[in-house]
This record gives sequence, C-alpha cells and structure tokens, in this order.
Amino acid sequence: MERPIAYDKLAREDRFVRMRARRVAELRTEQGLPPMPDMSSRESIRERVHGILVGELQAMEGAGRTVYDFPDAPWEFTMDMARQVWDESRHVEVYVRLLEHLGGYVGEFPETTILWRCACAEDAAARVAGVNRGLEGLACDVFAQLIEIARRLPDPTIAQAVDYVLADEITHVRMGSYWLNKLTEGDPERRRRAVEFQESIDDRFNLGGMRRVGAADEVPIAVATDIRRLAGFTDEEIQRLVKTTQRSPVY
Amino acid sequence: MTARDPAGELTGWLGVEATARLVRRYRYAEERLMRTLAGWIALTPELPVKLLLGRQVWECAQHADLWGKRLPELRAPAQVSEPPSEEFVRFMDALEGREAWGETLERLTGVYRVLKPHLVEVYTRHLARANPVYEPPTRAILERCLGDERRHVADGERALAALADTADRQGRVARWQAELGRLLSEAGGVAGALE
Repeated sequence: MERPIAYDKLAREDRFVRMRARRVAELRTEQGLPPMPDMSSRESIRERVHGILVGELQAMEGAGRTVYDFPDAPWEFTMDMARQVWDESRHVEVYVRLLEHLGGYVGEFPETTILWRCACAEDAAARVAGVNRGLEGLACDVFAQLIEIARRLPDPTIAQAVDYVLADEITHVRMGSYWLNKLTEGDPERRRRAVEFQESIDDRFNLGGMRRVGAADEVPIAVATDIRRLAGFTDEEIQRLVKTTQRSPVY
Repeated sequence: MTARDPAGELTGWLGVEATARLVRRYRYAEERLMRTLAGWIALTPELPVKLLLGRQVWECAQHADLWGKRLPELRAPAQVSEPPSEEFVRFMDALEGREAWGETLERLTGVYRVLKPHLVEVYTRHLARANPVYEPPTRAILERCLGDERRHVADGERALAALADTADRQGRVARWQAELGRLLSEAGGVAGALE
C-alpha cells in the first residue's frame, strides 16, 4: 500500500459531494447566508452536524493512516492511534444518527477536505500536533458550544451524545500533547516544526475571525477555554489562540 | 472413582521457546492485519465497510498487544513480531495490495474469507492443545482473540454478502479467495512448521 497516500485518494460513495471549503463559503454568501452555519436554527444545526460528521469521518481515516504510515513509531503510539480509530468510528455513528434525528441524511451538504489535508503531514510528530492538538482542539470548541446550544433548546439527545464525543476528544488532545513531547524528545527542531504546523492549523481554523471568545449563541465558534484547559492546553497556548482569532485569514 | 494421572495432566504441546516463537508469529499476523485495516479505511468508499474496519482496528491492536505482552513471560523480548516465513510475508503482501477504490470485495474476501478464518482455526487448535495447568495465560489470550475473531468474521461476512450481490461479484470473491488460499497454503499458515 502506498505510504502516505495523496490528498485526492480519499475514497467516497457517490452520495457524497466534494467541494473546496472556499467555494462552499462563497456559495453560502451568494445566498445571503453566513459563510458557515451559525446554529441559530434547527436547519443550521443540521448543516453544522453534517459538517462535523464528515470531519469525524476524515478523523477516522486520518488516524487509520497514522497507524499505517508510521510502522516504526513506538508501539504505544500505535496503540493510542488505533484506539483513536475506534473512537472516531463511534463518533461517525453518533453523528449519522444525530443527522437523522435532525431530519437530514448523509450527502445532504457538500463535503470539504480541509481537515483531511491537515491530517496528511509526513512527520508523525507534526501529524499528531496538527490533528490531535489543532483539529481535536477545534472539535472541543465546536462540541462544547453545540452541547450548550442543545441544552438551551432543549434537545437532550444531542446534548448527551455530543457530551460523550467531547469526552473522547479531550482524551485525544491529551494523547496529542503526550506524543508531541515524546516523539520530539531531544530534537528541538522537530518539535519546532510540529508546533508550527499545529499553529498554522489553529490559524486556518480561526476562519477569518469566526472562532473567538464569546457566548455560545453569540459567536460562530466559541473558544472553549475551560475544556481546553481540562484537555491539557496551557494558559499560554490558550492566550495565543485567543490572540490569533483576531487576525485570521478566511479559509 | 478413576485414578488421577498427574503426569498426564502435565503433558504439554510446545516448550517455552517454541511457544514464544509461535506468539511472535501470531503477533506478526495481528499487527500487520491491524495496520492494513487501518490504512484501507481511507481507500474504501463504502461507509458501512469503513466503519466495520474502524471498529476492528482497535481489537486487532489489542490482540497484537496481548501477544506482545505475553512474550517476556516466556523469556523473550516484549512486543516483537516475526513472520513464520518469506512465503507468509508474500501472502500478507498480496492480501494488503488490493488497495484500489474498486477492490473492496477483494479486501473483505482476504480478511474475512481467508486470514481471519485461518486465525480462528489455528487459535482453536492451539487452545485445544495448550496445557490447562501451566498455560492458562496463553489460553486466556487465545480465548479472547477467538471470541473477537469469530465475531469479526460474522460481521465481515454480512458486509461481503451485501456487496457481492451479482454473479460477477461472487465470481471475483471466489477467484480471490482461491488465489489467497493457495498462497496461504504454500506458506504453511501462520504457525508454519510449529503445527
């Protein structure tokens, strides 16, 4: 099997429609909609949930590739990544059901591969920093906000299911922090590159200022500072993220 | 009342070193299969199959881990995999090599019609022969793996049945099963000459 695989090798059934993230945002703007679903209505929550579903799918595929692409990594690293594959597969199953609960279906909205591209770093330390700390950190923000909105609706089905997913994501961030340190022990240059990669992902997913500090129903994506702290991000890292949310390019 | 036969109760199949060798072979198969399933997820279009592979990666990893942890208890280095032969490596290469989008049928056939059923057979035979007085640690791992592998095969068969829904597709399954079965047989299986 090829190792690693090219971005465009990601296999999908015909019901999925793939589109560039930038193009999706443009199309939404042309229709008078915010660039990404804001979770202000059941319909926009459904669209957000569809986006999360394909993100979880790509996370499962990415973790799987990490297991395959790095056979010489420490065995415990492989075990953590294999566990993550299973976790992500459950998350896909959760979000397929939540999508159906909201009256939607798989393939209802376009899929972007922006997350998958981030999961294709060629160095294991960079990949784990980018995916487990950058993207799973983003997932902590998004899920904490979704839980809060679901509790207010109230929709206990969404709130409880996503809370279990969030618990897993916190574990994945912790794994990422551990392996970023372990894999770069004695190699500050490798660590610098991995952290830079993670920060480039953080910047990209600030989405032109859409991720910022604020109440769940007031900002498109709220930085979940308490959850991030619980996941092991330092105050310095959280402050850096908050600062960068104020100067991010769109996509 | 029948007389006990203490010596008979202590009759065993393989010695410590040979068991360690066999465990390294099992670990090779489980680890290689686990990595293969994990790598295939991104290359497999069908969502139910992706999820099937995703669920089983972790259990295969646990099998490899259990075998790897058993090794130091048998005076061997921990977490070491060792293929039984070059022929078995070629068999695994062939199984893994069906990575094109349109080859999900072949991927499922290799895993659920050939390799996993073979592991079930070998583990079952080993369990039947492993001494119950001094080999319970190995027997416990075999029992755990057997339970999982049987369930994996049943789940894989359901996925295969859903995809192999025409005579042409069933023909593809039969041809690939026969080809891989031949390679596995030439390799002497995962246990090799130890069985």
